[in-house]
Amino acid sequence: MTKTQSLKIACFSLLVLILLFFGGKIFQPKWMYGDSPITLQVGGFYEEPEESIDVLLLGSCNMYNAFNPLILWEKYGVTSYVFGSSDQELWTSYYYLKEALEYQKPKLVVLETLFLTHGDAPNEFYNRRAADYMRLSSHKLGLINTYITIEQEWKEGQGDQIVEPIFNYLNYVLPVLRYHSRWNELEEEDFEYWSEKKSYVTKGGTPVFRHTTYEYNRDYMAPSAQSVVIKDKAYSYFSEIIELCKSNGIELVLVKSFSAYFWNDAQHKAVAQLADEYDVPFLDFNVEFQSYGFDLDTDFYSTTGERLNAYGMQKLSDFLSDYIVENYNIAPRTDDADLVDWWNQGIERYNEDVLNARESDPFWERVRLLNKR
Amino acid sequence: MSLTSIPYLLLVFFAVIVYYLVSQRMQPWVLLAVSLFFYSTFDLRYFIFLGFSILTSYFITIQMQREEEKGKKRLWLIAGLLLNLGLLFFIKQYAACASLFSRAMGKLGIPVQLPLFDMIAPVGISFYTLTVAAYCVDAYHGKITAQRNLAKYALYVSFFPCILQGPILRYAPLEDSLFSEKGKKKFDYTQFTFGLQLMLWGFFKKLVIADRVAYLVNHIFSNYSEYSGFVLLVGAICYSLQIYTDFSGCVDIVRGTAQTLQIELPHNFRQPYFATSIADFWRRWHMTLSSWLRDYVYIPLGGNRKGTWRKYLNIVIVFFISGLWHGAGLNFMFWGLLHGVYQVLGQMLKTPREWIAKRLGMGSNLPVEQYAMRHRCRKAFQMLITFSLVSFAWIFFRMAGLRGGIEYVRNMFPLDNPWIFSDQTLFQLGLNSSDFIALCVFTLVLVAVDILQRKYCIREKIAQMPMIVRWPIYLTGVVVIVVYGIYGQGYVASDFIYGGF
Repeated sequence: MTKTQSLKIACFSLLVLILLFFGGKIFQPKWMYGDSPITLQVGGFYEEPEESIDVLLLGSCNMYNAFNPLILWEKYGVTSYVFGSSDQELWTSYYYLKEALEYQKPKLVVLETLFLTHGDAPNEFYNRRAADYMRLSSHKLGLINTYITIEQEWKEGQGDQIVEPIFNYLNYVLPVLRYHSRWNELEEEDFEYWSEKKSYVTKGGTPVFRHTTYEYNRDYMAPSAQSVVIKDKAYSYFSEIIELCKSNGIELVLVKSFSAYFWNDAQHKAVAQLADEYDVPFLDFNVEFQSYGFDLDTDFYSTTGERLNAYGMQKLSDFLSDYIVENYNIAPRTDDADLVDWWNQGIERYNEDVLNARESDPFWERVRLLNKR
Repeated sequence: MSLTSIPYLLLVFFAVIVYYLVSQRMQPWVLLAVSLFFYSTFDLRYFIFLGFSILTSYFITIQMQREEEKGKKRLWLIAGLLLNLGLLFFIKQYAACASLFSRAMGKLGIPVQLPLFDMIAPVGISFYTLTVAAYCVDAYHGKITAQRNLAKYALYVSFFPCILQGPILRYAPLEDSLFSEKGKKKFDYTQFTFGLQLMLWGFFKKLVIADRVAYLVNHIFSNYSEYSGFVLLVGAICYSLQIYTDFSGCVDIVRGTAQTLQIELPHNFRQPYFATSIADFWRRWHMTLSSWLRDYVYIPLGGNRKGTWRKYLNIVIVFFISGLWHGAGLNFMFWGLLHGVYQVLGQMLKTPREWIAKRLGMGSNLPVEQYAMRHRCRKAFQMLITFSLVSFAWIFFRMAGLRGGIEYVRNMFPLDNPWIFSDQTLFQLGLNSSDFIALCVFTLVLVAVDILQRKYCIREKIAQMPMIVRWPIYLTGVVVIVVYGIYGQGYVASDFIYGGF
């Protein structure tokens, strides 16, 4: 083979890969609306100015529906971002943290603890949502590898058919292989998304403006003799997160947001014991939740009560903001004019687009009143 | 390992690199190792059958060529054929025959229950058994010298791209290139790129057309009792499209793979639906099987040397065997016999057909230069009739049983619901409107390429174009397959149809 021929083969292969990698992005579903616009939650993270985020919050809907970084900013001038994803397991939190450290130098990491004890069967939908909008990096590849390994172990246990691992891997790296069947569903948005900036005004926090009454056990935190164990894999990734924070000089706090039904006293005890073991503070908003002003009848948008609506989010964000500022030495960023401008733009857009649009909504009226408090 | 899977592509990639790096002596060993690895990905137990075929034919042919006496040679040949074809027959047909025999005896009031075995059917056995049988017969006739190197012979039988679905190989034309007999094969850029292009075309046929139309075909054939008229006609035509693109797509991938290694495999298809008669169809469809049946069944039976009626009988026998080879079940026998009868009737009615053609002003005696249009019309008409007959026969091939096929045909007539082409019915048969339109567009591309291929080699034409035109063509091909292909979790891709034979 002559040099020219080798060069031709290499160039053509590269061209194919580039075409599939970049062209294939058109086929990725754009999750930009609804209760979890993950495309914007993750995509927006990369739009934040480098080294501008001091508090990084990790977790599932229990975190991104519970904390609004704009409130921490408005109250104390402290910057934060919720790097969340649906059903975020500890391994996702771990790789998200690694990814975040490539762009930011947070002083504090807030980790939501539901998935230390809770967990579902591996779910490709959640995995894809979490991984698809990460930039291509060793951390993304690590996360994909973890997903595939866990999914395979699970399927082997269930006796289910396994997708060829190599194809599964390529599916994530070249999403067109997974989503090409969307060729007849493509919309303008699919083409335009990649040419636009994807900043997310609420910095990863996702307020949901509706309300459903909680329908299950109201005394869910009643003392229980039952014991719950921390999941093996979650435990090992939790240890990795601790190590990562230590080696980067980041403080860590564990938080369980207000969420009934999937949380109980036994889980609380298990996580509290883990927190003790590692000497990490643990703040559980479910213990005597009435003292924080939470209300099972007004604060949720899911009947199972694991997802806070904007009203509950407002309350939790208020308390968590106070807790962070009181317990951690994080200076406000109000002396950085560019950053102030960037965050205030977010506040303005949030007020215009989100709050004002709902002026006539009686439910949202109450949130606004609370906001003015 | 499927021929359309990523691991297969990686295997080919690996095979090509190693093949051209090693010495001439090692090149066949690399191919053998890759072939055995490829076959091992299915089921290790299949090696028992493959090994049996290789070893029996290897030792028998060597022994056969040592014998001086014709009678003893013949005995060895019979042993070789009986062992290999017998095994194939036993695996493919025993269960069906035993059940048929028991039922027939039961009807006569003699309860006989032949033992049934829980048998496995090794992939590719139908194909490599014919390859082995051809080798034995050719060795018997002295057309080839028996290969004394067992590894080389094992490579010939198990060569990895063709072991699954052919083409059915002949030893003589392949010997030099497969075993690098004429010196070490060095990387040939043109052969490599041509091979890849052929594979690309195979992927297009299989993933974009065959697997797409499969949704429609499966839907109609599974629910044929709920439909009638034109819907069933569309189903039959679409199955003709599916089986052609599926099988020829596979063969393109196989031949393309071999070409990247500079091994030229025989053609298996030559635009079969452009055939102007059933005999012509079989010269264009699954050509290696047709020529095998011609050389090893039809001619030994006497061919056309023993009178007209004997020729007709030989044709029917050949096609009956072809039906049996394709599978157990009365539907396959019927399908084979139907093709035999088509051919016999075609020859018997030659005179009246010509008479009608003359009356219609389309006789074959008209000078071509003067009546080009009439000749074209005659050809188009012949193609239409041939395609209709072939598609009609495919119905029985596709249905699970003969009774199902008869019911399908019965439901198809009369063709009294032409409105299915104007209302939304066509889009409710397993493919939505956009997929249906995509199928039509890609089928037109296929037809256009098949028409052009009759005149020249498209790959050579493209190769003559400047890079600025050539590369976008290749890239478009890749993108079309990646985007419009039916594969992955968004779809459930189907196996190759001929892999089941």
